[in-house]
Amino acid sequence: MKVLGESGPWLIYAHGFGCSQRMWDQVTPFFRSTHRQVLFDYVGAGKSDLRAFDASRYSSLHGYAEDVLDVCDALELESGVTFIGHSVSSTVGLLAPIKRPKLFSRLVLLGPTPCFLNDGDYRGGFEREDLEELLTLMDQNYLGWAHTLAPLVAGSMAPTVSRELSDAFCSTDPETTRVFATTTFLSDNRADLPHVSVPSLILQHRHDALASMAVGEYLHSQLRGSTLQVLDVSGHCAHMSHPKLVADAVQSYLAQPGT
Amino acid sequence: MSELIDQLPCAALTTDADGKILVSNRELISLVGFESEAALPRQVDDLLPPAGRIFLQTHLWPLLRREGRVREAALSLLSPSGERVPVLLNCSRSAPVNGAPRFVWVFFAAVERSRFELELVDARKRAEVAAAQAESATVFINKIANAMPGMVAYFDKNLHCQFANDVYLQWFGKSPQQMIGMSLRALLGEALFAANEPSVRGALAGTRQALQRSLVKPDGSLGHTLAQYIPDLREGKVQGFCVSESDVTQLKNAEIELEMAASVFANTLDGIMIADVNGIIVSVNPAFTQITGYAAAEAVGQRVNLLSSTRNDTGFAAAMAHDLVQHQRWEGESWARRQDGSVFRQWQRVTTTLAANAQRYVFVFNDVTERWHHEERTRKLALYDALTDLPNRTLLLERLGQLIASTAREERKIAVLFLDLDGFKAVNDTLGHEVGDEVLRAVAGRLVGLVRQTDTVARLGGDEFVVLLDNPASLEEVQRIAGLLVTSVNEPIVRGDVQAQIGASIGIALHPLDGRTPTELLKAADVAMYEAKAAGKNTFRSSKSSLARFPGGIA
Repeated sequence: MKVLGESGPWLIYAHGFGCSQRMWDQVTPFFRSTHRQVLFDYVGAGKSDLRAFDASRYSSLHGYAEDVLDVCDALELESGVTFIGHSVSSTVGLLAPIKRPKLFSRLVLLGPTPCFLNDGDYRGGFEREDLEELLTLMDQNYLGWAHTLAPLVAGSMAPTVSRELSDAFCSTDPETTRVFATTTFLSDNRADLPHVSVPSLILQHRHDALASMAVGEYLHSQLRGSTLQVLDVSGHCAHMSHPKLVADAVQSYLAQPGT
Repeated sequence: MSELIDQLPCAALTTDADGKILVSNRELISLVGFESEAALPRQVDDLLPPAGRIFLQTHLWPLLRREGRVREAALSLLSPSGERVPVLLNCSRSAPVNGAPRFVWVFFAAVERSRFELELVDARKRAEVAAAQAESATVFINKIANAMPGMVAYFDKNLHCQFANDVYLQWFGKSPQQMIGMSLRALLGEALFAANEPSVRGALAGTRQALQRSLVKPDGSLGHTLAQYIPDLREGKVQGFCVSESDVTQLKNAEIELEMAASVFANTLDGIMIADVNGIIVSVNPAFTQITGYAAAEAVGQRVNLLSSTRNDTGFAAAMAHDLVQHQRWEGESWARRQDGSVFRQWQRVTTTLAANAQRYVFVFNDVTERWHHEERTRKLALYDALTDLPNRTLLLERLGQLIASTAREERKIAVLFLDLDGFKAVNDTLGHEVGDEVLRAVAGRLVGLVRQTDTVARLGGDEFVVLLDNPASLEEVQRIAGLLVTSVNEPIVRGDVQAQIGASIGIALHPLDGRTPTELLKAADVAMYEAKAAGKNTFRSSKSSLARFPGGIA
């Protein structure tokens, strides 16, 4: 966990699947003089302590929401916090205020989707088989030659083997990342949306392979007090590809009088 | 640029920072299977299946933005017909064009490598499953080993412990961490190890060993074990041995108790006879032989009535059987017969017991004949007159009471004859006490000789006798007998050269006319006797009530 700045309102950033807190590195400078900013890694991501990982806790996004509340508790935050979440963490950001409504004053949701899977009329964009394929793809890329062979040769499933993986990716631990992937892509939190009472800003990428315009509009229709703002960009990570665009949108949203 | 990229011997394209495709080459078109460049999508995302898009957005873009390059990322490209074309991707950020960053994407067809990788991934999954199964098999075996009541352990050929179940750990008071790898020598200690060493050597030589040990457990108590060392042979070579050990402490203690019980059985002075449920004798002890004369071989196989005596009344056996069924025990005295036919009095306790699920009767007895005789003598002294051997007043009253009690159940007459000798004092005074005693004994004999066995002749003391007639036919019959008694007493009594002659006065009382209790009847007979004396002695008189009932019956 990292805290930037010494005064001003609190911003807490939550990274998405496959990333770590470093993904916000180009956004935080815009708020350095005006806010106190909190960055953290979910267990299994970045340099988090793997011993804290609990597969059953993280089998639901509520477990990740508890992580957010734990961070706020550690800082003894009680109210007025703005939550900024990317992708799956947008959903985490929707669940946290349901548990602790007074803690948060606003939510900024970048590329949010309450459910990645298609379900009837709802088009999340993905099927269950896509998740299976993703897990295989992750296995191939995370483990690579050495790490695919190592357990076979050593005849051991010792966790130390997989910890020595290249840290090319933000998420360094394949096992926790598998859990995060499964939870991210199988969770369906649409039923939680009506319980969110905190006002939110939806930052929607115009061309997003993971969270389509339709999903953004669906969220906007389900979230009370939400503002939908379309970023005229392609991709799913505007905070990295167009950090100023994201920072401007957030700044102008926060500048509006509170509701 | 476009021409240059077309010269490349592999599929390649360029995009802007959002992944919008700027330029692509012919190799890419043919690798993915597009008809023409026009059919190519605008976004690099759209070249990938959904899983690839997620991976691109969540893993590759963050890496590209941070590091500026990606090496050998495994991906699949999506052909127009929906097929996956496995590729390896190299991508790097190139110099900005007009201030905007460019990314160069190069795809290597990786059909072979990808298949091999997928096989490896698959093999890894299989290995994981196999490992999980092996682990669950180990868990299963541990579960069984730990469920066993005995101690189970495995020592390799260097005598280091490789396995120990919970019971084994408990016995030695060790944790699994302490036990595994520990040497047998350190575990047992020098003394015990030395004692076990021959067996250890035997097991390591490939021979199964069985051994018994008594040892002090860590808690300080003495335990006994029965151990087997079972060699572990692989391809004819001993790899180590399995220890299967049973805690036989309880068994051993039971054995000691059994030995003690056997010693008691052999050495006690009480005769012991054990019979099965059918009443067949299965075992006897030496004291049994001592008391009864039957050797063990003669007794075993016989029925339990081997010692039965006809001297016991008929109800005795039934009473014992009843108590055994109801209370599983009987205790009491009875008569028994020895092998030589002699009878002895035994005090006996019989219990039924379950031994190894078989019901047994245990007879414990001792010979109390002497005590019985002693008690009999004491009893006789209390109830009989020492001079004449006739019942005394106490026994007389008891018998009279019994007779009276029996009248409640049946029609029965009772006559009480109170007899006082006439002239006895003179005999005593003139001829001496010894003659007097002789006279009393002679009278007693005559009186007994004149009545039936069912009647009673008692001496109250001095020269007073009482005769009880049980169910006499009539008052006349009673008076006839009274007359005979008087006549009989009058016969001279000769002892050597001394001759004595005496008379007898008799008073008769009848139940219930003259009284309903022994005392009342005796009193009435006594009164009648004095009337006989008053009438001149040496005669008999009936009580007044009897006369009133039987007028004219007077002699």
